[in-house]
Amino acid sequence: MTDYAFYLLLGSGAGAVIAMLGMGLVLTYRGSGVVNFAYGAIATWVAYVFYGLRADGDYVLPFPGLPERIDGGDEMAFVPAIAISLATAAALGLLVYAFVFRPLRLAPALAKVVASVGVLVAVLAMVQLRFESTILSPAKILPSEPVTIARDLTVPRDGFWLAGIAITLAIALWAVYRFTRFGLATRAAAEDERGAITLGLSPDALAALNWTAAAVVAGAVGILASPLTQLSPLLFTALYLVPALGAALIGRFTSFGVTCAAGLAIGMVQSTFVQLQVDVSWWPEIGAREGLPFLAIVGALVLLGSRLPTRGSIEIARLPRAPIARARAAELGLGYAATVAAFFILPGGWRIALLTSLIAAVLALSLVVLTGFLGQISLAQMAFAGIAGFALARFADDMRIPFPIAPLLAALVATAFGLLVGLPALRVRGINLAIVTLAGGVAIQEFVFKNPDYTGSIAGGGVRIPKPELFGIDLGLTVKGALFRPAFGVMVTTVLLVLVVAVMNLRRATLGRRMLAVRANERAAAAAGIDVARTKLVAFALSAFVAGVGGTLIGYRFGTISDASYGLFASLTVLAFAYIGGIASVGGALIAGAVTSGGIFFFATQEIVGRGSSANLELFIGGVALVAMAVLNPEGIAGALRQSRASRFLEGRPR
Amino acid sequence: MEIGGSGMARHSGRTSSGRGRARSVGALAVATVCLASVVAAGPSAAAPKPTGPPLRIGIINSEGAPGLDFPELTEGFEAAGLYANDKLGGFGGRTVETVPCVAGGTPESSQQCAQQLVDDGVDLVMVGIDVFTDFTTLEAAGIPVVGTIPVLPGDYQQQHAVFTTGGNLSIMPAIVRIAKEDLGAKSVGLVSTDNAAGNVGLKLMTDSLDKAGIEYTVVKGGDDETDAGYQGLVRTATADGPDALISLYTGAGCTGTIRARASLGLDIPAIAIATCGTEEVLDATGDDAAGWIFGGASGEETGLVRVAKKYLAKVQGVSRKKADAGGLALVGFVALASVAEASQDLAAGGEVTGTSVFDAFATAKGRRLWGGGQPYECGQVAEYPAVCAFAIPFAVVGPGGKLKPYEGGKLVDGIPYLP
Repeated sequence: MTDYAFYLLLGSGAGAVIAMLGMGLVLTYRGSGVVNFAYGAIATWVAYVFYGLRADGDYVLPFPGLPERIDGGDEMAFVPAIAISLATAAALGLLVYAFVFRPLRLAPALAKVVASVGVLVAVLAMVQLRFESTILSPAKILPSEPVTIARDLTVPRDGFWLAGIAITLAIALWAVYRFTRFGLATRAAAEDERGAITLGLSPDALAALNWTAAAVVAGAVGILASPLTQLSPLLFTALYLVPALGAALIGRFTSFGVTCAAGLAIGMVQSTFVQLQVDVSWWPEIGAREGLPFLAIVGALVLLGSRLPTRGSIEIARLPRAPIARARAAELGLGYAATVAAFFILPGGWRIALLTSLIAAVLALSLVVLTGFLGQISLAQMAFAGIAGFALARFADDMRIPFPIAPLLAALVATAFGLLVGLPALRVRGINLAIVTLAGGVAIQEFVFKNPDYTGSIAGGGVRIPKPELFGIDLGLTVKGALFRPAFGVMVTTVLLVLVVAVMNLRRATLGRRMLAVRANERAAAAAGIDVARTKLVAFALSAFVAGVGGTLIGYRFGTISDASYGLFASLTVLAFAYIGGIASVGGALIAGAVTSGGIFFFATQEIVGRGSSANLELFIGGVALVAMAVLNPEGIAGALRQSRASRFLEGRPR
Repeated sequence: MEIGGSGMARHSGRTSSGRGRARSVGALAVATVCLASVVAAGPSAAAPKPTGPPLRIGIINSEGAPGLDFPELTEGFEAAGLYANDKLGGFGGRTVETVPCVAGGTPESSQQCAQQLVDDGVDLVMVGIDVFTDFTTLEAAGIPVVGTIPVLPGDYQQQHAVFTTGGNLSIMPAIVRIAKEDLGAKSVGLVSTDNAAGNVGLKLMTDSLDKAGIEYTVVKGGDDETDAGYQGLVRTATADGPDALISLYTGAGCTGTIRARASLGLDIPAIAIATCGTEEVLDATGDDAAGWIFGGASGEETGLVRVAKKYLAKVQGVSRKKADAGGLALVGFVALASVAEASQDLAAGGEVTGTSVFDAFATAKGRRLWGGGQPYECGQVAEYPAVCAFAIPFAVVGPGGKLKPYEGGKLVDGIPYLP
């Protein structure tokens, strides 16, 4: 038992990081109603800035085109360095709020998710642009001499210090929000913005102040926590993000104290897994440590469910309209024929880009069903695609099940997982569901994709996917002497056409109308006799099936499957491009495919403009572009085109 | 469709901004860096300058994605190209012309790279680190591939590509051989990270340990452990008093596990992989690293490194003194220079093509990697036909935190313990 107490204490440092990030997320949400998926990115940037000041005396600037850094002479002393770094954090928080989330105040939650993805990508790219070596070992800040717990058990004390700081922060934040005018005003605005305005409060100013404060907390976490481990771009943006979201969810995005306690508990319990995996024979060999936050999130939902708060905003922002697609058979046929012809006419690089676009369109269609029609946000689509990809390898390679039965079965396996991840949707919606699906995707990644039994061992030669064949016709992408064969492109185009028609019919069908009714107002839908729970589960299942089809196409395209294609960032990317294209319509999904990274539009731009020399710069531009699209085009490109046609129609102007 | 990668493949004369030591993080940690051996043989005698038409060598390498950013590998290839033209007679008398293409860390960009290099009419492709190399396209186009570090299980079974190092496949069994035959270990404690790449490496390690008859305790942690967390891992792994500690961590885990062993006052032998034997890690850990053995590290700057630096300086645009020949730059240099050396005999007769150059390298027997380094013979182990070299050097940290060659710089291959 002493051993477990020891491990609990060892985990206090990691738990404190999770707790503080969680409290920062709560602070942001309470102040503005935004769950900031880029919160860890702010911590990351400030940590690197602080490192630069202490190591070289250089202040690193985040703007491309301007000088990279201001030379401050020799390494800077601790106090001025931390003051400048925290001021940077405050400025960054204010800028991000002012230019990104303030314009999105009335936008749907999904737009805010997409915008935060853009911020995350841009900041990560900037770290890579500005720091030659991105894995850094910052000098210790907190006292780290070992302290003896019992007998020969000694623990570095910096974790205790950080835990103490986390608890102090929780108390301070509680006190501010309980007793100060600012805190009370923030709580008032969160409850009822209209009422707050009536009282002369400015929700906008309150949000800005809360964002600034949250960013300073993020900066402090980044600076204090990175010496406990090592500073890397993914440390706060990915590795600690999910547990922090879990802690914030357990705290219902309102309670700093509960969030702090949950964060500490997650970190400390994770630490005990070190001993548990040795003591307990049935302990999962793979994924247990990172899967815990998912379990914490699900547990929170089971216990809290509908009591998770929503914000009393002035306007409940709506998702983009989901119009009935009115494409005639001739139009569809023409599009199909043109795409097929392109595979025969275009050179190889274009064909690859077209393939990327078509498969991306399939993945975007999965989100049209779930998010566009049903109004549920999912951050696990690529996880479903990956499940199907690995399942396809089993069916097609191991069990020799022929095409197209193998990919259909694989998509059904993804469907089962979709149902599993969709169960929490019966109790939560909106941004809370986004968090659940994010954690679900991570859990799938942890328990399935990490496992060599599924991903293939070295001795086994990895995961192979044989070429698709139909009635003796080889539909594979490449054979000796023939690259990027049109046959594969025809197959992919055909699959996309079938799915497009299916989704269009779904929109017109009773089920589709039920989905839209649930999307509009769940209570009203239930009152009208719609089985809301069943509708939601069916939508999740259909969405996962479509995503699974996308995953099998990816597998056939590359002849192998790797877990690296199906991580958290991949799911965020799919969501982002689907939103940009227009997440509520089939046309939007096709546009999403066209503009996706590596797709036809991307390739065409490169061919015209020429290829740049910095992938990180392009990544930064991509992140900024994502933000701009989310801010300027909440309805997506498809929605903007529709509005343009509608306004011309109303004005009597010809098309 | 990974926005974490750029989603595109690019040709560029200069591959990326910055030349610093990039590292891998997350799920795709680089598991091995096999440097040239410390065998004191000097570089080959200079051959006549190449006079034939250029032989175009495509280079595919991952850059610009979080966790997949290795511009120094491309620098190593390009520098070796200059060296080959200067001293080795190019490739079989033909001038080497490198054509880099940056893979952005996604399958799509890797496929684009393959396609572009096919369109560019390259004769041979060298691969640095590319998780998603599109071997199918290159094979279908008849372009042979020589890689440096295999990453995914399928890489080891490629029929039309070879790798100058074995990656995990050479490191893990070699570590087992050291543990069993040098340290006499009957049991070991293993610490490893619970991510996809780590689990593949761990499986290799445990399979090799099983073959060696060594008992082991495996303790897994996360990628984001604190120093305290690493202490817990090492403590649990060594609770039963094993004869040695083996750490499969890379990145931050190197520093963490090294510090943890010191904090716990352990003096059992400890082994890690070469990415833990870097200047950065040793600077951070100081005396704590004393006694650690690193598989795949050579431990000293040899004359070969100085030769490589001369050409790396040209590619990096710095003085020879400031040229960075650390880690992966040398891996790239050694790989291309080795292929060039193997093709020297082709100049005497016969057609010098990408295929004949590849065959000269892939079918060579009794040869060593550039500079008299590791012996290589591609396909020497039938189960892993794409791997050419299994023997790796080891280095050990002496008093004062200085890295020096292990056992006089002997090379160790783990073939008897391959799973």
